[in-house]
Amino acid sequence: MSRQAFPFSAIVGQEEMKRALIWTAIDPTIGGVLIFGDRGTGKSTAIRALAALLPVITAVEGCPCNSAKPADVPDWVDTAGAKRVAIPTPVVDLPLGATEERVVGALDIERAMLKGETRFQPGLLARANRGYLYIDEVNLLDDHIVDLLLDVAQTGENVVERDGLSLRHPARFILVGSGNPEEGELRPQLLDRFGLSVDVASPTDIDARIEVVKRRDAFDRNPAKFLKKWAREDADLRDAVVTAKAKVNKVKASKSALGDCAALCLHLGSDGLRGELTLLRAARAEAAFTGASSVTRKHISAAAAPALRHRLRRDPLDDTGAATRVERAVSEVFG
Amino acid sequence: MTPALRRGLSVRFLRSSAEPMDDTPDPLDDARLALALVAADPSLGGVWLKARVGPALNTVMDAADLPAPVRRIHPSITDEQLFGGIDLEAALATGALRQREGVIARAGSIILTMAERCEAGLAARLAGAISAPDAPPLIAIDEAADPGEGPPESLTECLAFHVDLTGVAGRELEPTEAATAVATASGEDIETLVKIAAVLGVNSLRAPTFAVRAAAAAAGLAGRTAVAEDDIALAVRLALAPRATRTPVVEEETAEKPDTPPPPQDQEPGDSETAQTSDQTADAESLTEAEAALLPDDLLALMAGRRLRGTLTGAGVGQKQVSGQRGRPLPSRPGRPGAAGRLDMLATLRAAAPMQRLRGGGDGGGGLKFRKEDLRLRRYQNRRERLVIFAVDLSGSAARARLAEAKGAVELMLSRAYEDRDQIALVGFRGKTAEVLLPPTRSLVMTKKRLAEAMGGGGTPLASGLAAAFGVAERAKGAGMTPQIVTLTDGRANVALDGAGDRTRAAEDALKLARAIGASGYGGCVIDTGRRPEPKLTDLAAAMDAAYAPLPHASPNAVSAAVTAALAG
Repeated sequence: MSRQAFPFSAIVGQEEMKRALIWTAIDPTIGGVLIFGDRGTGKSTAIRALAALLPVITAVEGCPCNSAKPADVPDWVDTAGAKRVAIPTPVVDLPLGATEERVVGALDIERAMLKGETRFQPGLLARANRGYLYIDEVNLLDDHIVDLLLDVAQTGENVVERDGLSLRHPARFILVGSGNPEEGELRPQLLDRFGLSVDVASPTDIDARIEVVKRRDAFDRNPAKFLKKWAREDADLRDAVVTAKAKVNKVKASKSALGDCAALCLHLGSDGLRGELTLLRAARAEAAFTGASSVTRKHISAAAAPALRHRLRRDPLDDTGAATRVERAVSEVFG
Repeated sequence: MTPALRRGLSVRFLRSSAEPMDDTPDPLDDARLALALVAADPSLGGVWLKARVGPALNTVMDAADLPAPVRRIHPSITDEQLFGGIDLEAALATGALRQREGVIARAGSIILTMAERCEAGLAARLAGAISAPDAPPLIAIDEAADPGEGPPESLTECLAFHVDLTGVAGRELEPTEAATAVATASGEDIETLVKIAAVLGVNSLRAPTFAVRAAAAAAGLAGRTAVAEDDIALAVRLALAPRATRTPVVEEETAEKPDTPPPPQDQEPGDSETAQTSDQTADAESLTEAEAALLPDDLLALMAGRRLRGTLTGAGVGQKQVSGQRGRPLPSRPGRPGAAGRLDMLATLRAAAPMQRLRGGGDGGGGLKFRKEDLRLRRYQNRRERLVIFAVDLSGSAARARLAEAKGAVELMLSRAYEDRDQIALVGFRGKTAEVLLPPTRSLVMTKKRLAEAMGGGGTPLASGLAAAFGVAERAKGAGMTPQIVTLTDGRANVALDGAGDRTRAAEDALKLARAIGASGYGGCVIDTGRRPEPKLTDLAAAMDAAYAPLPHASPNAVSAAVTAALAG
């Protein structure tokens, strides 16, 4: 889609959501963001803005999976050239009600019928490789598509065994889901698969609300002018992300920082070790983003709620705010 | 409060059309204006027009001058038709690939008829499509008969204007003049509209954004270059008031008008009723905390017995439904692949094979020759989703007796339903009427919240409660679910269906409805929440073809176990 995106830095408030999205850009292994909130809170706007903010990637021209090197191009691809070109980081929409064929890819029916060739027509998973896969209303997604996504997200590879096809291609993407919790809950298995989870709400401050509408109106009336106005800030943010990405692996996590992560997860009784890992990675991304050379308690506290709130052992009948529970735990553990 | 805000809140901005005032806005006129505004500025998304087919709708649509070409679509439209795709028939006939543009790309404006039948997936895709720049505006004509029906919120959220033409007579309408000026909203106009939205409890920020654009478009239509008060009034009436979740209380205005101003005309009826009834009767009510309910172990046996007699449907065992997507495979059928079904390659080949000699294909060279009629689609049989409707007696008698325990029982059952991934709906009845506290949902949080908020007090309109539950069940069945009703009551019905306090008629009405429920097969179980078991409830349960269980004092998990046994197995 060629629509111009709203500038990321012009989004009013929603700091936690913006920060979480930036962390995934800095360290893709964090593994996706789940954004829950009411309609009209700027969830979709933020994702589209992120797509425009992210730095370009280099990919083999014509490869449906955005492969980085000609050697990575799957053998079934016959459209790829030898040239490598810069493309925007892919952000692929998975529409609600998308069929399995569209997601996984399927036999190219037209070519099969007209030319008698068995050709694979890649789906959304191929296009999302090395980028983001965005699912709006993720909680309303059909169960069988959810299962499929879980499987691929875990292995990073899409294996197609259908319609007489047998092939595979890489599908490493960051899953971003958004939804309205009042319309249905997400299965715990899928919930756990998202690295981070943030809750968004419309700003309650009237001045902030006015600013949101003013900026939106200015953008809609004259997108080019508005983008120009914010280009500098978006560029600064992009540079910050690129810088942080380059040094995130050099950020040190001391033994005591690891201990803090473990203690926090133990205290909250979060299932499995995924919580600790994500917490550490998010804290490290936060440290890199803020220019710190090692992870401190400040970074861990900032990452605690997004990394852990969806991993608390859930009692279906206890609806105490998860964020509150995490905050309480942070203050109890860190004293 | 700023002067602008006070101005924004003056009663004329929010007045319902039902009020007998001289310059009352006419819904027909509003609809005409809404259509004219989206025609002038398609970025407004469109209009949600609640109207049955009739003269009112015809006059409005005739007067509208929508951007041509106007395309009518129906909720059963396939993605290929909507967004374009490969013209398979042309491809097969000519042997060359033909791309076909979708309705969205070709249309100047789109009319979606029977919008209430629109499923969530289509709604989401349409909402995405019309939110794109230069997309055609969408007029969603919603012919819903019940308040619970209607197009999904994901779609209506992206339509700037909501107009209700229910019960409006048709008449001649002047065609709208085209816009003669281009107006922009000033910073002050934006502030006014955002503040009004906040006062009306409109949470989404998309609504005030629409209102700002609507005010500017309205000024343009009127030939102004700046937004005037009238334009703001119109934007509020068409874009904000229908989304209001609360009626604003403004001191100056209440002094003028002693009566509480009626809620804006398009407000969710459920919401306004809740607000009003709880205000009026708050004193008389007791808000009881849910506590664990207790039932004896032998209830399990009782319900298991009922199940053995075959009166109850098994758990997670929804009715069967043929689907093109998933489930147990069924034999393939001829058809066109698309959203409805996947191509069954093998069966298609098999269908084409015998014809190859006639068509000159196969070994003769040139590959296999396919025709449209060879295409075979896969079909699957699918279990439908189950909906458990809880009809809870919130009357004074029940509240005094065991309301807390009944709530506890419902909560336990909820957690089971959650595990089984069933959907849940809540109906509460007390005083003179019943109310759908929660339409079908999978959200446990919402259910818990609504249940905790439910107040006790008043008479026992058992018949109304059953009628409401029956209505929810009917709609759910129409939407492809398998509904079951769990009734919790003390059975002391004393309010008839029409709200009259007449014990005999109340009991008769309740029994009539119970029979209707029984005949439709929605019966789940009836739980007696009275202090002593009520014999009449046994008859009621029998009429409903449902299991009957008294709710005595016993172990907490027995209740949920019992219900699970009754509904499940």
